[in-house]
Amino acid sequence: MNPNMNITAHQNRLDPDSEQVYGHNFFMGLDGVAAALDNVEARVYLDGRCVQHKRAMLEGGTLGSKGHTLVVVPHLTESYGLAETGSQNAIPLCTLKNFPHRIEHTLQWARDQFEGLYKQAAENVNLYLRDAAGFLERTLGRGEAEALEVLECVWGGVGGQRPQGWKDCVGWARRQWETLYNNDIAQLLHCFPSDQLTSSGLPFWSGAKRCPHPLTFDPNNTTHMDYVVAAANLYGQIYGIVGTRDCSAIRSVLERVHIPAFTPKSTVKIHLTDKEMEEERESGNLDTGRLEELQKKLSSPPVNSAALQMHPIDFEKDDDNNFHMDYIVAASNLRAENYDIPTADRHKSKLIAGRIIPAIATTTAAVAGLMCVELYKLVQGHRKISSYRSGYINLAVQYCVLSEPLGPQRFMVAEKKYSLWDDFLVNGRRDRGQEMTLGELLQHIKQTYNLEITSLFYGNAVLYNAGSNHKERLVKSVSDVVSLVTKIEVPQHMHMLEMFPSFAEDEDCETVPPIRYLVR
Amino acid sequence: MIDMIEKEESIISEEEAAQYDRQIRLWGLEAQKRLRGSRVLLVGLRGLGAEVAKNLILAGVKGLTLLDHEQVTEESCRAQFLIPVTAQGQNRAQASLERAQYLNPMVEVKADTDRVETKPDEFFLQFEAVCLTGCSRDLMVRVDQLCAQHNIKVFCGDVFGYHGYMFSDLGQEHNYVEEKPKVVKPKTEKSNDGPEAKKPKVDPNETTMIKKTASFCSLKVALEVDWTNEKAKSSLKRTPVDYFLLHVLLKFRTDKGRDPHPESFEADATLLRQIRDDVLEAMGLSSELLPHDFVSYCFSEMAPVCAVVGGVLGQEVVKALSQRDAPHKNFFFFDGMKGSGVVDYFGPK
Repeated sequence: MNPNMNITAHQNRLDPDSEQVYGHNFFMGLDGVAAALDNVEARVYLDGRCVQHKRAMLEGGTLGSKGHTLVVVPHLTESYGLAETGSQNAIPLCTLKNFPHRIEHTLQWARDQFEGLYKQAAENVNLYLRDAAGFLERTLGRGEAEALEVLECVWGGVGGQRPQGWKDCVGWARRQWETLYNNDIAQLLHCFPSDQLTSSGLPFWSGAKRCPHPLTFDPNNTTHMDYVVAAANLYGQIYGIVGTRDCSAIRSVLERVHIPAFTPKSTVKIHLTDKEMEEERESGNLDTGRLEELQKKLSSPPVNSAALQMHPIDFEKDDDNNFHMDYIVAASNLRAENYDIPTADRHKSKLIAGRIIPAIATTTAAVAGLMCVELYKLVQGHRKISSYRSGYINLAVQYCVLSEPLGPQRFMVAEKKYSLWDDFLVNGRRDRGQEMTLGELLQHIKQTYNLEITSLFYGNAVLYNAGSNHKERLVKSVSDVVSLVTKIEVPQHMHMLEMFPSFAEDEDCETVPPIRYLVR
Repeated sequence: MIDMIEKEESIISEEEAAQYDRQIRLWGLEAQKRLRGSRVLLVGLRGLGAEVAKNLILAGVKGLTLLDHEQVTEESCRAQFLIPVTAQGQNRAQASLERAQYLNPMVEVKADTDRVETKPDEFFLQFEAVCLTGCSRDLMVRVDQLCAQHNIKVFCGDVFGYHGYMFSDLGQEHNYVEEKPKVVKPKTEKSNDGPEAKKPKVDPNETTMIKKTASFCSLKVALEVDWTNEKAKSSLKRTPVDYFLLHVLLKFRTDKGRDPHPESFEADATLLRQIRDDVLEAMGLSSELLPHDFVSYCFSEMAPVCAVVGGVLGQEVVKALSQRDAPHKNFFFFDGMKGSGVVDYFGPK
């Protein structure tokens, strides 16, 4: 498009792990940054870097026909800021586990099933086989309730229940079906029958709580078979057993699969809210006997570890032949049938489960155009906030709102005004000589800004606290103190250390500009 | 013309479904099929034309004809990304063809090097939509009148420096659907939520398609609004100045046979100011309506302004062809200086 333009292509992820490449020198060599990222996390990270190095940033995004643009000008406007908890509304666990009422719930449930059965189970077994003792220690360290689940699962993978061939996989899939779509539902209804009333005399099963009904397996039902075929094949894959799509062959195997009779138990507790679930976990009401038994069984790793290696599966929604979407669609729709929720076809299931964002060229063009208009303003060096525009558009309707950006977050420290863009920039090495000591840093701040540091933080670590006995630290170099406290050497590539002070002159203030200390 | 599309190829191939997946999820399969059956004429391959071409080709129309008789100049390369910098002296439509086609092999992209003025009426009738950029006012009015009679959707657009506009005439009766969230009436028998149950529950996931109709006026009528009557004068405050700027620039184009050019800035600026005085006076309005410095911001085509206007115009074409979502009625003005985008209606009430 323009041979006079110098373009360098980088293929690195921009995150804390690549700060060796994208460090202080890199950012200081730029006039500005234009962001065309696809997630909030990355935006927040990049924004932080731009604020730290005081670089202008153009940012934009689209969602179907909607788009937004933002221009961040150092010392003039607000920055992108902290992430808003908006789009990804987490579904409560109890809803997923027992009380779904929308197809999104059953899809998420199916997705979680997939992760648990075909990825985590296999990964855990492999981790155990690699280092049994370490694995047991780490698992137990995560709490007894979780440990019991994980160890039970690992035992299933290395112990006697491990499938020996394809028929075992089919059997497993059939029994899984029975458990999820019949037994568990029967159990739920046993605890809360359809005519159950709450303590206030109102029907338990009403509103968001849809009363489920168990399903009866029918080998002639397409969805039932879809589930069994997909589940069996995926189960086979993690054990390295080859499966088949041959439905009639699978049906004949099914005829000989034994389904144990199921009787709901009265001792099973089903939680109504996530809070209840948490409390149950913390109360320690669990089968410690079984946990100890599993620990013993797993304490010595099996002899033939190599042969027991499993193959975890990563969910890939776009391959129509890998059984992944087949599993999700069948699993979700069967559960939807349990709860009388309208099912979703493959296309819709993929959209929801795959969290696909619709994208069109026109919105992209408009957003890119708006961002680039701001680019001209930055290049021209406009310093009035009224010159700039941030925007929200929706091409599907008559929505085009371009407004002046907001000013930066401002706050007071010891009766002086500061903004998001302010910091205390300190050259740690004067004239390329020796690095200054912590004491000298404190002195420098006192002399230059007339502020007395009473404590100094580096991330969560305390570098200095006037109240504590940190006298020896004052004579060490600043980077030595950082190394001491973080227990890691300050990496060579790191040029700037960001520290947060507390001042005697204003002990209570919540927000303080950082001290940006140039260590090299 | 649009109704006939349903009979042609109503099945979308797997390849197309995969390619257009992300946009089908937005506007649905029906809409994509309609796009897939539409042939569009795009006149003028300057910066704005290139943007519109890109957008329509990516959207997946059946065919796009690029019509432009002009040659590639150095200036063309500034805001036109479809033309390689080495193509100077070639015809603009021809030079844009390769990169345009490369965007999407499933669209039939053609280049036509004739002057649009020389095209007979029948030429336009082979398209479902016609998009005119860089055209004279008289031509736009003529083509609009012709196409409206045959139910062909007409779009006009231009970019002048920091300013840009688009106009649409979708005919007297343009039918479309809008997707609105379904309003679920609360159950009267088993409601146990008290006051909450009285509010109609809107399930954001359940939507329903509502059929609507919109009526558009011709470009001629839209441009010949009478500003001398009292009612018009009172609405002047709410009227985007861009509308009048458009008149001035179209008159310049008619008189000089080209748009204001940076190389002849002084002379063109003087002429623009003269035209402003004449045009506004003829409308019975004060020449103060367009400030003295307006001339500084309407030379050449700014790439980002082409992108914004091209994006909006492209989406309007998609909406009209797919008959989905409310169309802008009937102008969209973008002012890169003020930083404003406005949709407004000019024509009979």
